[in-house]
Amino acid sequence: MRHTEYMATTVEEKDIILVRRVLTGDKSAFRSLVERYQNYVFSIAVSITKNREEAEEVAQDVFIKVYKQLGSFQQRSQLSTWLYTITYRTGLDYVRRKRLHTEPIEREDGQAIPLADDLEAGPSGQLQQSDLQDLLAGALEQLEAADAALLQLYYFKERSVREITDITGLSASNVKTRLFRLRNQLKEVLSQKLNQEIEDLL
Amino acid sequence: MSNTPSDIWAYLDGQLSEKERRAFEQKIEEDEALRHQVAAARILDRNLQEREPEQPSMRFVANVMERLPDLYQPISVKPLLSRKALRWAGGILATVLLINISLLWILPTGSTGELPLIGNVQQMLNALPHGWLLPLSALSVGYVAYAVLDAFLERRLLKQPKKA
Repeated sequence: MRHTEYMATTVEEKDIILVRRVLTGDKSAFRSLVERYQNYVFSIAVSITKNREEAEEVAQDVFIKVYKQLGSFQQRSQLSTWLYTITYRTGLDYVRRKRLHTEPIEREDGQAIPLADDLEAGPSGQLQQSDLQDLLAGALEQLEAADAALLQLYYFKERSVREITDITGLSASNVKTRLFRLRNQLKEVLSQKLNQEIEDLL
Repeated sequence: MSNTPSDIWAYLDGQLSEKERRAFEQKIEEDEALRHQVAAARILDRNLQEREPEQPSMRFVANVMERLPDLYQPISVKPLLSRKALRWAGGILATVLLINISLLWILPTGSTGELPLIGNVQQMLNALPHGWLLPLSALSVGYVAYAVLDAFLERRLLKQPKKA
């Protein structure tokens, strides 16, 4: 690691230094970027493809694209925003191409998300936190690819609507409306299982 | 303000103004059904925030690195002058200067016979007995200046960029 990397304090500054090193032929700097962002890129890819093997393929393609286009990265936005934009588009393109070859199974907008039946509350009537996360993961899996990615990105980007509009190209009002709708659907699902937790909060 | 599901999320996302927030909190106090809805939304929100990112396979980074094309050429960011050469130049310069100063003490400058320790530049130049000392001094000074400039430019090349 070089002297200037010690001086860089924020993730954004460290990213820019790594990008510069990559552009001067230092491949190990790109390895650092992959290691830093692999989980996030992979998670977005999983939320879109609903399949870990396919998500890994998509995530690999994303990093190759990023490497090839790194010279055109303008540094007007954060590297993570640019990276997630490529992930979002690559993932959705992958799903669209796949649908051309397979029979689509569409879920109509607003239709209730199926509830996982195998998760039951314990004797106290309270679900374990891990069970809750499993329940949530199951519900998220039922979302449409673009919706699932939108929700994932929103929480990765610390609830910044502006960042999400940059990544997805959707308008701010559209993003807000979709986020409200999606979370309401999830809330309805969870509410059926969360009576005890809700009582504890009240 | 009517109670819509989007109000709940706007409230939890911190998108309401101070006035709207206070009004909404007042409604939460008064409306048990709304209180229940907000509690459910809060649990969901917390769990969405706490979700850990998925991890790809152990081979993921290696697979990406193996697929990278050779696009960017390494450029030299090392100083053109090695530290060893720099030390030699510094040594030569110090020796030459030492000889010059010593000669100023040792040699008389003319008819007065005084030692030109604090003489003017002309006196000092006159005091130099050998023609090669001055060019060598100039060369050494120039060499060191070049080395310092080279080191400065190297640091500048790697300078931390300003935040976009």
